[in-house]
Amino acid sequence: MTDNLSRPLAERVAKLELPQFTPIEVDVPQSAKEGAIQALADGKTHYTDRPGIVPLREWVAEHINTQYNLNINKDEITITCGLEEAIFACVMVLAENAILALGDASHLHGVSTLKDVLLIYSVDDIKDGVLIYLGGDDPQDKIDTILKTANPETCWIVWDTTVGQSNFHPAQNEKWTSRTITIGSTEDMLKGWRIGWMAGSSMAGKLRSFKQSMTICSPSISQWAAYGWVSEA
Amino acid sequence: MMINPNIPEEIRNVAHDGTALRYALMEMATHPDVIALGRGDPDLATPSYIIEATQNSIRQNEIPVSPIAGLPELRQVVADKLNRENGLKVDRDNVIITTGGQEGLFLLMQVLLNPDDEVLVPDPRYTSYDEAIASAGGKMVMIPTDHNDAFNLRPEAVEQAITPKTKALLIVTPSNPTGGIVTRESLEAIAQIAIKHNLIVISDEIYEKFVYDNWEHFSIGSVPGMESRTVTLNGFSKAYAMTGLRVGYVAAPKNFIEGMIKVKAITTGAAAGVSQIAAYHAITGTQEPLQEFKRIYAERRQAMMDGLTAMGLDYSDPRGAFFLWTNSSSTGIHATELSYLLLKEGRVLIFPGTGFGEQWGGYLRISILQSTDKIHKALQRMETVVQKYRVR
Repeated sequence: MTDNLSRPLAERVAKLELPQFTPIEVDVPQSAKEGAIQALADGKTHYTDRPGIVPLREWVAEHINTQYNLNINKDEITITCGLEEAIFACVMVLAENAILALGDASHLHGVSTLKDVLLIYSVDDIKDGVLIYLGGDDPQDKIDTILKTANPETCWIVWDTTVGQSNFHPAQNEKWTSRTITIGSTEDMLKGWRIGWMAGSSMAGKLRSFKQSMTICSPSISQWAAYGWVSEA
Repeated sequence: MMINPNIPEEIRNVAHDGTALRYALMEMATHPDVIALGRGDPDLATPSYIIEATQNSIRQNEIPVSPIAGLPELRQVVADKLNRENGLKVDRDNVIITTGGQEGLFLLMQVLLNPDDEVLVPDPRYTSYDEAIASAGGKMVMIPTDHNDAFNLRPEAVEQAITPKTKALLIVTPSNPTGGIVTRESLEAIAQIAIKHNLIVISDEIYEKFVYDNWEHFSIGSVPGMESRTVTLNGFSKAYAMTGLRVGYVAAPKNFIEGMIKVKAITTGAAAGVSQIAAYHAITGTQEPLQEFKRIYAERRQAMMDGLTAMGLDYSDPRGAFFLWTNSSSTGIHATELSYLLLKEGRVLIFPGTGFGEQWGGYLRISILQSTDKIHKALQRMETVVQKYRVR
């Protein structure tokens, strides 16, 4: 086969970087292995429910609610193919003109390019329609400023639980409860099994539909492995 | 035909959106006695050699973290398969492993289309193509296909639809939803049109393993001159009855695959390692279960054909895939309403033609993904509903 397609690629592709890969060794927890092996034995190799398997969604809801004192229901949760898909869905569905990030935003460069929105870094630049990307390692004083000054009628918050350790959550502020999406993943312990989630907000249904249009559901065996691990951990 | 205003809001509100309509019907199909002839999810068990080999890989800690493009050994055996079975001249670097075929479609549209580029799409179509094309700013242009020639894609219809903005042509063979195939003769003529008009051909071949009677599957990418302008989409879900594992693949020129790797790093990252290992075992193990799958599907297909004929319903010649594209217009009931009635009163889930294009209100897509016994039972239930509501 020839090296090049006979027509030029889409212009957006030239703005993206080729990812680098470094092989790593992983030690999968026994409980995850057992969950996966049992799921294979039980024939759980077909499409799961579009939002993800119920016990894993129930665990995610309980985990978030316990840590942050929130009231998220399992039906507001969608299991995604890793944290990447959760971020991608949120940006594609919710970002109108810009993404605000306070810390390291290198993982948002590509998705902002694909969506064709700005990546901004200053609280002073917040305007209507911005998707605000926050996590537990962002400075609390800046988060407080954002919650006071950003418009909860037009802006959305993505709260990334994979960074920082905090019991604070923007959705604890009633103004932002329905405008905050919580994202997380099991990648710290189950690297390469590609399980993440997005939880809560009044856009949970639309986010779920977007995910479904991309990948239908998340890998069944990985979901059962993740459930095996979290239910033991 | 008009949709009866008395059918529930959750159906009527999404009647214009094929994908949403199909999901709305699936969400209504909660009764445990429902016979599901809707979704294209094989009911057969994933072959045991795949299950056992994957379990052993897990036990032996052989589940790697994959590069974005996929595990090199899986990319290699996929390339080997495409060379051996499909006549494509590809190597490992021409292949990317995706998180299911649907993601492959999404990624390739992102890599291919600039805003306002046109993609020619056979009508009727699997409406998830709409979302993939729209997300890249592209526009769909429908190519008519016809019941009388089993929804084969006619070269002259393709050529008539080409405009200066046309960048690509989508071919789905065997077809979801019609069960038709694009014949080798048509594909060879379409290839010449693609070359003449400098078009890219996206060839979705996810149902290639299931072609019936004396029909054959043919890959347009094997036609001389098409190597640099064909993007072939396929996967493991349908062939090996492992839809939940979410493993697909795309074969294309190297610069295109590099573009897909860039986008995939942003959308979902690499496909799950455990799923790729299962796919590796699937493609490198015995292929005998696929012959048994095909025999079972052929038997069910015949049962469904006989039942529909007895009911007085006409259908297009189902040459491949899992579906009978059935003309229901003789009932006098709009397909969206008929699907609702079949579900509500007959407890049979069947998708209306409108799930695959708004104008297909005179058709149903009926899958054969249930046992022959259940297909017979479903046919009896369907007959009761059709007899009750048929407009005389």
